[in-house]
Amino acid sequence: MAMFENISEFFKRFMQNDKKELLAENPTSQSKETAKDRLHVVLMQDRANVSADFLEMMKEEIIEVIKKYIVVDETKIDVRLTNEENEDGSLGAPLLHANIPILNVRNDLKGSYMNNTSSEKIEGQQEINVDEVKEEAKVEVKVEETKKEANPKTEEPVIEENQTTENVGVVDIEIPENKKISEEEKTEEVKTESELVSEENTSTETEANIEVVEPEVKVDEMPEKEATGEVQPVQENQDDLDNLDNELDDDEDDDDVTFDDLLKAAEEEEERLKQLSENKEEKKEKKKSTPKKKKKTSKKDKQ
Amino acid sequence: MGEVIVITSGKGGVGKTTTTANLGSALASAGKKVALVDTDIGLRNLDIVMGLENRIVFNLVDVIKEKCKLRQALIKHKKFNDLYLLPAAQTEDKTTVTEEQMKDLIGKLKAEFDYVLIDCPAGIEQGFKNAIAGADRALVVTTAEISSIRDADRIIGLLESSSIKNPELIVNRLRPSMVRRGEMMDVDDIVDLLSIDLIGVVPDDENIIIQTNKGEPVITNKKAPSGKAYIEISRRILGENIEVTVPGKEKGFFAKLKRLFKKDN
Repeated sequence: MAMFENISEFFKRFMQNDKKELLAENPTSQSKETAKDRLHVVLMQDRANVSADFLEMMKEEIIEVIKKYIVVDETKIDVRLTNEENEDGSLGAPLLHANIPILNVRNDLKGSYMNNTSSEKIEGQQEINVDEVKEEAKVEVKVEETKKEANPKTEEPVIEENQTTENVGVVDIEIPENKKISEEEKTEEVKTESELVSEENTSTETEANIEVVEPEVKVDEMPEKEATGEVQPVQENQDDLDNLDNELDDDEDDDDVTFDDLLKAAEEEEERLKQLSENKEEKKEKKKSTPKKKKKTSKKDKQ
Repeated sequence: MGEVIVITSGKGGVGKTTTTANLGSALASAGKKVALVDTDIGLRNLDIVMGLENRIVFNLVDVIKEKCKLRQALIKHKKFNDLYLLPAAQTEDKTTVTEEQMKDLIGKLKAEFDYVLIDCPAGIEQGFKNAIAGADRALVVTTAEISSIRDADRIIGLLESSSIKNPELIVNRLRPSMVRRGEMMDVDDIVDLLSIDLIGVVPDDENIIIQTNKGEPVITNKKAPSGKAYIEISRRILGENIEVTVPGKEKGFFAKLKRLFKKDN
């Protein structure tokens, strides 16, 4: 009998334990739930704060979008991360709170919208132009080179033989402003330019440079060496552009080209490239336009 | 080329060193060549947990400063084949070493071992950065306590912005009876909050203390539940796709019977 009782007790306990487990699955004590909720909130805040500007950036972008459609009072905009209020007063789920007082709906919506897109288009086109121009410039360079034989291909640090050309101040390898008239020079310039452009990002300045260069190249294809009239206006345009240094204008040295000259040219080019990248960010200046022109004309006169 | 795994947590005292010691031993028992690296410079503990504190001649800093060769600093465990320890220095601090130097060192170890387990120090400063430099994979250890989960979340954020993607979670020191009573968060809650993959759950176990007292990893005790959990994790590391056993929720009649008779479960 006792044994039977023991056994039945044993099974009762076993069943009870199961009940306990069942009960435990719906616990009345809520400390784990509290912990979960608190952690939920805290983690969200930690994560938002860690990317410190997260909220700031989000806020600014939201305001930008809204401004497109409605006129708002920016001083009174209030965007923040808060929490919902539960019925029992406790803090609930995180909430992005945004109070944005509306002043007016934009009537010029259509107009401004068109403006936005059109300006974007223009920029896009400009960029496209640059690319196209670049390619064309490069292509032209190639074309010209293949045409010519024994072309002077002096590029910056690599100094290859010079040219059969005499009377050519190879020094002016660089830039548009020092256009010389010989075919070879022009190709070099074009090349360097396109190289410059490919090295650096396009800007409207370089773009203009390239555009300007092209016509010169074409001019060169004519057998004449003298195109004074044509060159000058080109130079004027270029003067409007990058503020390139005038160290370029060392061409007042010998007319005969020596190896030293080539070396010098290479070094100077490197300098200019550096300065070019510095100057890129400056606004267009119109300095030194006159002296350059004068020098050019004097050179041409020599030649 | 081996796999480099860093064991980190953010919060201190949640079981990184214990996990490193035991996982390393388990992997070595499975026949792999394993190197354990203690990067907690100044507060080294992996050596004492492994029972190798009397055999230290050179340490991590010595190797990096080229006062000795890597081989000279590695301590071979006598009871596990191919298990080596590179201890930390006790007299320097964590700014002594840079991430680049660590990467170099770990690279050398990686070339010779199947697994390199890096015991990361607590915190998010230079010690942590050094420990994760050169690691392929990360295991984040947390307990079910609110503070350790919060720190683990921060660490996960830092890991994800480093080169280590997809860190995996080990929930340590779980107390199933408390979970049942609703007084401790359960594994699902923690995985939900941290949103990373779970690789293992280790129950709270007195045997850890007992074994550490002796200087032996807990996996040597066949009956220890934590040992079983570590062995299961090591199998998962080796590539076996087994379901994570959550202590206290084992199904089956015999499991329930066992729970009936156990003290605290």
